[in-house]
Amino acid sequence: MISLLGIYRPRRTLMHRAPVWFKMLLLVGMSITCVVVSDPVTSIGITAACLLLLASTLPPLKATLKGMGAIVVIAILTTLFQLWRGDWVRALDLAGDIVAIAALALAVSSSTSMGAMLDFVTALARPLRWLLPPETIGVMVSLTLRAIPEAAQILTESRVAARARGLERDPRAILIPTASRTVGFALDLGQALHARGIAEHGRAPRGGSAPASEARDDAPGRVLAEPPVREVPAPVEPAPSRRARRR
Amino acid sequence: MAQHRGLTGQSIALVAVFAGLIAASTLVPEVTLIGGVPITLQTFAIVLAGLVLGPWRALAAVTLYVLLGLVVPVYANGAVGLAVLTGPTGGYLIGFILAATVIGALAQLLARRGVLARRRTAAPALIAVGLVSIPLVYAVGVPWLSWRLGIPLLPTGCTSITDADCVSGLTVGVIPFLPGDIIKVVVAGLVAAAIHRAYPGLLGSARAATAASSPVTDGTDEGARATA
Repeated sequence: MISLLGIYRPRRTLMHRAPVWFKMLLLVGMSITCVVVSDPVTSIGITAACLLLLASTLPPLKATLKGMGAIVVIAILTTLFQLWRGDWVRALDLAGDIVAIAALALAVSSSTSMGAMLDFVTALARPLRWLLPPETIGVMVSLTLRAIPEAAQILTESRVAARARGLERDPRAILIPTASRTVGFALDLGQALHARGIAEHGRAPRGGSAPASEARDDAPGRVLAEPPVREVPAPVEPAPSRRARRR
Repeated sequence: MAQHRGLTGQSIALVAVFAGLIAASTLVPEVTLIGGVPITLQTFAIVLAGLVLGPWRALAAVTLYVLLGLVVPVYANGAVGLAVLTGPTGGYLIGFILAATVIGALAQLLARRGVLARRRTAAPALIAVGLVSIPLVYAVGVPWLSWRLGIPLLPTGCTSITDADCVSGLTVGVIPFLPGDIIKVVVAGLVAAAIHRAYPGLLGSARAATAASSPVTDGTDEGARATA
């Protein structure tokens, strides 16, 4: 049921070889063009080009049809509505836009691996590094991927438990245990991260000396009963030399 | 506050796990209405994230979910990300980010006032805060939808249900979903109240906030740290 593969398949087509930023730029540019240009002939031309581009990436047939299905239904409904109003030019234009952008987006997804896309998103987030160190983003993303099956399992188990008690119609009987176990899982996970010293930078100056970053080491969350007051800003004095020597 | 200093392991874990929960809530089987409109737990999970995590962590969790959707098919109906985000319903996803942040801020305000600590007031207050999310989501999503579909935002001169003038952003994008949304928000408020009762201090209760704002700087602790 839960397939996280997406529609990416490793191939060696033109789109696969194009850099990610180029593909994203193409997508953004094409979206803007489609929406701005309201000429049915251009619109249909762009749609055909996008569909060809999608076909050129050799996507898996079933997943692609599923991906296009919902969009095509919306496009058809829109077209019918516009035709009903007697505005066939608009109908062609809008349906073309919707299908074209969806096809192009699918072409990008099917030709870009998860790793490449993650790298791209992380690179985009680089200006945020004063707020979020890039390695923290990586930790968060991988933890999220790990948390999806966990949360799905918790949800399923809660539902089974509620059904066993004959309460399957009561959303509270399903969702309160789900949410509470999820938060509990998160807190355990946080404790494990803290214990391993992963991603415990606070807003420590990057490239600063190790003792300074250790001094700013963040306090554990108050939710967990941890030893009190560890976030006292320790004076940055004799410690550096000693710590440096110990390393 | 934790949000300021930001990145404790706990905050990171909460953000990641809630992003995972939002994603998982779209993957478990749910009812699908005609026209491919899914009734999933997605709205519930997003409102819950706002009410439980507070503004910054909720912002991070929902943004992480939306960005992850670019890569992995975690949007509603298992659709592939980019096609949804650029499609007619993409505005709702942007609206989710805004809504989760705003109700997170409001929930934190409640927590600082100590409303969440009292059992009788917590659930109604959280539901009231959660209801704020509905107009916020639609404020972004519906103009986007009606712009992309070429339909007017508001119905004009609508006489009967079969009238062409009746089709508008409001009648297509809001009214069919409003009852379901209200139910989901009410449930999310009840669940969030239970969570805050089970894990007090997630948003920093009033007492904990004052304790944290005056860090104890006694000599013994400093000495202990220096010699450590």
